[in-house]
Amino acid sequence: MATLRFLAHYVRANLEVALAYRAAFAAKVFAMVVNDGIWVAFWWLFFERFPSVEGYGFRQIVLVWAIGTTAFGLSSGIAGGASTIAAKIASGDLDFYLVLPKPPVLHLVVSRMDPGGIGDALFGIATFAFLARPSAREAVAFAILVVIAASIIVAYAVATNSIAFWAGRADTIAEQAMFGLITFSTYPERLFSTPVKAVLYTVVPAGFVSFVPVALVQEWDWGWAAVLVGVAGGSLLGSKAIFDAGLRRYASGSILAMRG
Amino acid sequence: MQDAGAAISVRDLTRSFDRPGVPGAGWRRLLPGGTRGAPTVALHPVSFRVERGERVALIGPNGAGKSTTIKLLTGILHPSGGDARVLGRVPWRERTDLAYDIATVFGQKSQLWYHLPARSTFELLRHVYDLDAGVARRRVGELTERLGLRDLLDRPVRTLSLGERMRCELAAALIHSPRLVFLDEPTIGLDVEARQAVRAHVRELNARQGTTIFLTSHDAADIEQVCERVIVMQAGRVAFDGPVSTLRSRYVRGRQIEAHFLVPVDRPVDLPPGASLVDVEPQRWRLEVHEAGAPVGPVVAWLMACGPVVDLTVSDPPMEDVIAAIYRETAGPRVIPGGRP
Ligand SMILES: Nc1ncnc2c1ncn2[C@@H]1O[C@H](COP(=O)(O)OP(=O)(O)OP(=O)(O)O)[C@@H](O)[C@H]1O
Ligand SMILES: [Mg+2]
Repeated sequence: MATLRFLAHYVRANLEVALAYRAAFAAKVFAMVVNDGIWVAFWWLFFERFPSVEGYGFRQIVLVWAIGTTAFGLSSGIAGGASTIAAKIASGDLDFYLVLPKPPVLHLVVSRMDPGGIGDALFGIATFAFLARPSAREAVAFAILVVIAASIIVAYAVATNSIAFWAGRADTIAEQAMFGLITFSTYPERLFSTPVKAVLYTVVPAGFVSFVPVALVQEWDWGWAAVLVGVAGGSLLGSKAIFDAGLRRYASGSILAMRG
Repeated sequence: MQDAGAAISVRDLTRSFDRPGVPGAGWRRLLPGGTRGAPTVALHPVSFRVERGERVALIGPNGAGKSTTIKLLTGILHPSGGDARVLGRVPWRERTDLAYDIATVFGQKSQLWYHLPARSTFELLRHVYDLDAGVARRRVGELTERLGLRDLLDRPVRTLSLGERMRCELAAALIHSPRLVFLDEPTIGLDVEARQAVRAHVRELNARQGTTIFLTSHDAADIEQVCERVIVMQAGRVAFDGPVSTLRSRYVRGRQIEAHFLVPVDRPVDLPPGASLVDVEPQRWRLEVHEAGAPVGPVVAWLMACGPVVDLTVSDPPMEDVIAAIYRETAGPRVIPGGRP
């Protein structure tokens, strides 16, 4: 409980910063909304001409998009610090968080907020509300599922960024890994072959970030919902364990950071 | 090592760092880190003990291992070997618990939120340390009073001068009333007045609350005015550990004699035995008498014979010179393991 309150205060401090730079913040949010809008407009025009591709219609694409953008938006909008971990490990900037109480990975994850992520989340929610025209049940499912998906994304970012403890520099690796997850999460599951799907339900968890939530919004299934919650909890704990294991190797003001 | 009573006790603590080598050949180039060179040894076995309420300075030339020691004692780094207890806890294993009782100030880094007023960081820290709203308010009030923060707290930190920011930094570090404070070069980059403010506050903290102080610095005044004890590190070893007063006699033998003359006097040709010239101006000579405790009488008599002396002072060499002597001693051939006590 105290932990939640402490996380909430980080979010508050981040909002204060955003408010201090209101115009810049709004501009970034708006830019992201426009950017996302172009994509949806593209799909919309596409389905105007070809109403169904392999059994997929515009509504499915909208669901994939809405859940994806909202989940990724929430993860970087609230927990944008996760993707800065690799750089901080390399530069030695973990020091501050290590001398404070509370697990350092929590401090890190909420230490930054990405305005673009807020834009994504707003756009995703709007897309869902206006283009998917959900029923009340679908809306509730959506609200719960995007939060679960977002926490899996945060865990994935923490785990991939923690590679820096072993590799010295890993910001590009982590960035590419996140990019891969985003890419796979923005296409319908049906497009992928079985071996690819095996990857997407394990190392690059697009299955749990996108496919399962999309299916669940359309048709609720308690079994799959339980699996999803388990995966989210497991990956959060697992990523924290990886980070904590890496801390033993932390070298602080690492000169590794200066290598090209 | 059951040393629950000590603030800090360190036994045979060592730490090495991997040195990134040249990238390997062929496919090995893709491996991060490449082939490793021999590791850098930052700390050879180091042992010392600090009692509660002591004020200790850790000094030594660049790269001696001061920051590494502080990072090990705060749990930031894990050691390569050895043992340490800080307030009865093993820092790297009980880091989070220890964090409630200690504070760390890095002179070169800031923990304040750059774009926000310091007050916002304080508010966040209140929740980080689980402080009661009332307790925190009283504490911030107290620190505001003593560090003179009244006009600073509500300005974005980025608009503060370095000295003003450092005072806020100190307050942020002390908000949870720590029992032990580590300061790594707390006065670096500050002007004279700001340095004095930091020193005064650290001293007062120790006097009022019995807070243990452990600081590193290259500034002689930080050591003289704040600390009662000095640990000198050279190339990862403890080379001296004792009161500030005996530090002088360990590194600089002798005393200085300064004479002012009524009229300009020619540079002397011969010197009395055991003395050397440090500095000569026409009307002011500075000499050093080499052996500690050697009689200065003959040298004074000799000076009187040289010209009309109007003023004469006999003093210990300034702390700057002592520190310079320490650093000089290390600047020679790099210490070989086992080569020095
Ligand atoms: N992260 C690191 N990776 C590799 N070597 C390191 C690392 N941190 C410190 N070292 C090495 O360990 C030794 C001790 O460094 P340390 O920072 O403790 O020195 P210091 O006494 O604090 O010096 P300064 O007065 O310059 O602050 C140095 O040789 C340094 O190069
Ligand atoms: Mg240092």
